[in-house]
Amino acid sequence: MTVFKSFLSANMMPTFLKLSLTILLLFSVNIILNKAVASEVIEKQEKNQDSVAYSKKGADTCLKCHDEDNDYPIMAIFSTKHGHSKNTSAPFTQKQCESCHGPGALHSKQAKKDITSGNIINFSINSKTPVAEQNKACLSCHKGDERSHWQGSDHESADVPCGSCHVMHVKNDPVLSKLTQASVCLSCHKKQRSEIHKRSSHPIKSKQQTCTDCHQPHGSVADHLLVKPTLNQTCFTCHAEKRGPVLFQHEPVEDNCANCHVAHGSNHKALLKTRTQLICRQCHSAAGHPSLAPSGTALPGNRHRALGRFSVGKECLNCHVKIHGSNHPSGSKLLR
Amino acid sequence: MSMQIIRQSLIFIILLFNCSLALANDNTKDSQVNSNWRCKYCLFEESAGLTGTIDLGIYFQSDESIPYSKYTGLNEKGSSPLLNVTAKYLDLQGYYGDLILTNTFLDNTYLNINTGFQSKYNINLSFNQISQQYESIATVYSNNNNNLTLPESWDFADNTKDFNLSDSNFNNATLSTVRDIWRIAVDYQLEDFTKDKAPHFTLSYQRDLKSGVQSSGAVISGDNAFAATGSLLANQVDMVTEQINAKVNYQFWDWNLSFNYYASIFKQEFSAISWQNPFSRQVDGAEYGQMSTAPDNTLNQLTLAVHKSFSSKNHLNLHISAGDVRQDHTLLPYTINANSNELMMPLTANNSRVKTLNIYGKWLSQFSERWRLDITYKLNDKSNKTEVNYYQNFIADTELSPIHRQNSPYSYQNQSANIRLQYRPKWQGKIELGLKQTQIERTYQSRKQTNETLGWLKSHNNLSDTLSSEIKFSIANRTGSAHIPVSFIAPQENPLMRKFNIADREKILAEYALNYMPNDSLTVDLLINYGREQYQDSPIGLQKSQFSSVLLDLFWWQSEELSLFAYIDIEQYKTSQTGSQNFNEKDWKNDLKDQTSSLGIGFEYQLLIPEFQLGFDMSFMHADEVNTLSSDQLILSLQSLPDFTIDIITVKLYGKYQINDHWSLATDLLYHDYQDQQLDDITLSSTSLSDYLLFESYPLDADVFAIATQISYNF
Repeated sequence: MTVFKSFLSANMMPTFLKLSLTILLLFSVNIILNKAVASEVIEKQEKNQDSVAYSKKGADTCLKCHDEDNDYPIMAIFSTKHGHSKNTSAPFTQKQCESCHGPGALHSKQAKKDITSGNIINFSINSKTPVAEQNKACLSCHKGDERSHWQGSDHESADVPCGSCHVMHVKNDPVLSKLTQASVCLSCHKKQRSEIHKRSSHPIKSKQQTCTDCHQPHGSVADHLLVKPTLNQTCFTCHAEKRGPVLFQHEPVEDNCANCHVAHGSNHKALLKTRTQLICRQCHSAAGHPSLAPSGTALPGNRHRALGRFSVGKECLNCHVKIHGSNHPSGSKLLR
Repeated sequence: MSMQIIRQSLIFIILLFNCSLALANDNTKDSQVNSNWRCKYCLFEESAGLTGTIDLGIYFQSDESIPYSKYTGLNEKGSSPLLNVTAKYLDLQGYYGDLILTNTFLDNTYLNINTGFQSKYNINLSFNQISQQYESIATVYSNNNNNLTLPESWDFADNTKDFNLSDSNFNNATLSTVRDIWRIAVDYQLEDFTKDKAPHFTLSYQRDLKSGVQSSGAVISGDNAFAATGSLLANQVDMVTEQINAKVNYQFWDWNLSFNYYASIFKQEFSAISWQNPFSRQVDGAEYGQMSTAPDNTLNQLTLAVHKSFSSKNHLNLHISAGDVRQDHTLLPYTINANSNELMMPLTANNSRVKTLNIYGKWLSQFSERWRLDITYKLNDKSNKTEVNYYQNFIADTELSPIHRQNSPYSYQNQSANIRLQYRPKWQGKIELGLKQTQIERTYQSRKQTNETLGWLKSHNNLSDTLSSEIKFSIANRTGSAHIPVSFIAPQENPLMRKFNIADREKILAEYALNYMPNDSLTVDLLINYGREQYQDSPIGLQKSQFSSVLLDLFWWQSEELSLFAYIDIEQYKTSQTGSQNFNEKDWKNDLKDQTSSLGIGFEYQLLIPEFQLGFDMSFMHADEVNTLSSDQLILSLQSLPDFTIDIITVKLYGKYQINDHWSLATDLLYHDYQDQQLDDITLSSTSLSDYLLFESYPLDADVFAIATQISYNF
């Protein structure tokens, strides 16, 4: 409660007042719209009575056309959990194909008239079926746990259908395998695809690490869909030696790893944002330790070569070794 | 106070009102029918049983290449056997098993086994080997359990050039690490997970063992603390992180409740690194130095997560996570200098303890078909409970004045409130508007509090059935309390310095994306990003930072026989920062321009006959960085840092010939080339610096050719 009170402190007042008024306005509009939408839904339901009928013979109706010679092979579903005949959770022990694809009577009727698509739920990014309708079919079973954060998550808000990442009619869904997952994610996340080719990156190219080691694509409490509540907590799952708490801390490290590092790729060593000495000098300019210009004159072979220790090797870290914090009693300057 | 209560009550009443309204309108539940269809065309029995593939072959690598092995873990020249196995078992009752084993005899082995009974339980066992190499070096030190000693015949001298180094003084080493990660996890579903009231239990244990050799700087007193000398060391790493995760997830009606316990235990084999001082210029007795390593530590964290769907349109998420991180590692002595006075420390172990609290609450309301609102509140609180003490002030074995230095256990509290409104107009587009307010309070920092307001607008437009675009613009402004240098930090920080993570800042970000999909075969994407950070009231420090990029991507899927992709990505990063060598106003400015161009192209082609498939992909990356150093004052004969360039080319050609239903033959050819110019024409060696003993290091430039040929059997 103290936390909440401090948050609503004096300097936050104008923002929160505006926020409250905005909410009031929006929710007033909500009352009117909700009523209008409710009547619209009832009207639509009446119109669509024909399209909610299931096929007469279930999957046999579907498999007459969608056989092994079909353009889009589907028979591999029988090698998956979805296509199992005894698994009581599986679609095939319920309404078979129509458990996921929805009532198909109208679809099969039209197919006989050579109308080859429509009136059925199709799962993909290019599908005519609205994304929300596609995802509703999946979420009717795959609810809870991580999917609790799906609504309002980055992927959901961007209208990403489940079928954009998951493929059902194959033996092994590529996104669920460490060996093939990155290629699925990077087919949309094209900036990250470039970044992993840089000089320094996590071992994603070599398939030793994968996207879901750090990200939870179904939604999470953290920014950027991270698996832990904060960026640092996510990083510390693998880099636990940086977690401390050490005797002499380096505060930016405790704040946010991203103060100095980037996650997907960098042209600088250790995924640093820029050269070590430049990063350090963005925060340090002490009396006893002059903030020397990052000059080439300090390099070996030049007049001021004694200053080269700031520019070569591990640069500032040649001496300030414990940049992530020191647990040495004489480590206040992160030297030990 | 009364205003606060009114504001809070207002928000609460509005939320409750909306909740009840939405509940009243939720009348869209399905009324599905059950059926007992039989399926004579379904391949239930045909698909049951064991299927899989075994690949047996040989891997050959033409040369050693650190940049190649940095990503692949493969640095051994020559040939190695290759074994990959994938297997899948499924029976008609619901038992199943999956096995993946790859790169069995290489340094990046991966094993994953899943077995269980469908929708009841799953047991997972995995092993993941992450091998990475960083640099080949030669060092004068011999390493015995992180006691690094010089050769017996070492010529101690004041200057590196007087060390009389010869080849026999050096030991070759590769800076590399290997992580062996074992994990076992059990999932158990008490009830059918598709039904209400379905408890789900998960228990996992992971052991991550990291070992190898890494580099570390080491500094020791010269004539005095300000004339310190140093060495680069190749020190051993042997650390283990164990993680335990136990979770219960329970669904009932429209609720989802999850309780999670997470523990992470980190242990290190070596609690110290000690090294012999190679310089004769030293304070009395400073023949050896010693530094600490990362201390053993433990994290325990409990998490409660609640999700309630008030309807398909209204959702509430609450997530509370409380953690406790502690370490009580025995402290090393101030110095191991035998001539130094023996000094008592306030504690033998500092008993450090940090409490973390993370709260997340979100209310999402799809309050009409076109409008949606979500409100999020986040708290990230880190409270350091470590005792404050005064420690003798040693800098590299020299006791300095002031004689005491206190530790400053750092705590912070980061709170943010975020509101996002989404509108879907009739023209199939989407408009989003967001506002986020963040407040961070810190201890022991020159600025106690920062406040940042972020506003953003995003518009997604489906211009036609084949063309869509998205534009996003955001602006953020950060201000805060006064900058007051921390009084006990000595030497004093320049009061004109503004640390970039707490300085006043205006940040602008613009993104534009265009997607053109004229048919099912062709996709063209264009992404343009621009970002600018302008630091205000920063006499010394980061002045501005600018990022821009353009990415063009093309994917063409002609048929099963032919598909191709191509992309080009050009990005530019510019920064400008100032500093002061005279502890006064700025006397230098450095402008940096870092440009990276990436190009990728590839295709898959079924050659002439359906049995033969050919694939090719290539990526090329070129990066260059230019620094320009300038000054209004004559402080040195300034010379900018040398430019550096990096070129990385990866080419992969692969082919597969399907001999019959069971047998196939595949070959992968890979070429990787890395070239860099980091320090222009300057050659570095162990004696490049007069008072700092570096490694003899070798250029990273290398090209490597690898071939993997394998025969596969499908069963």
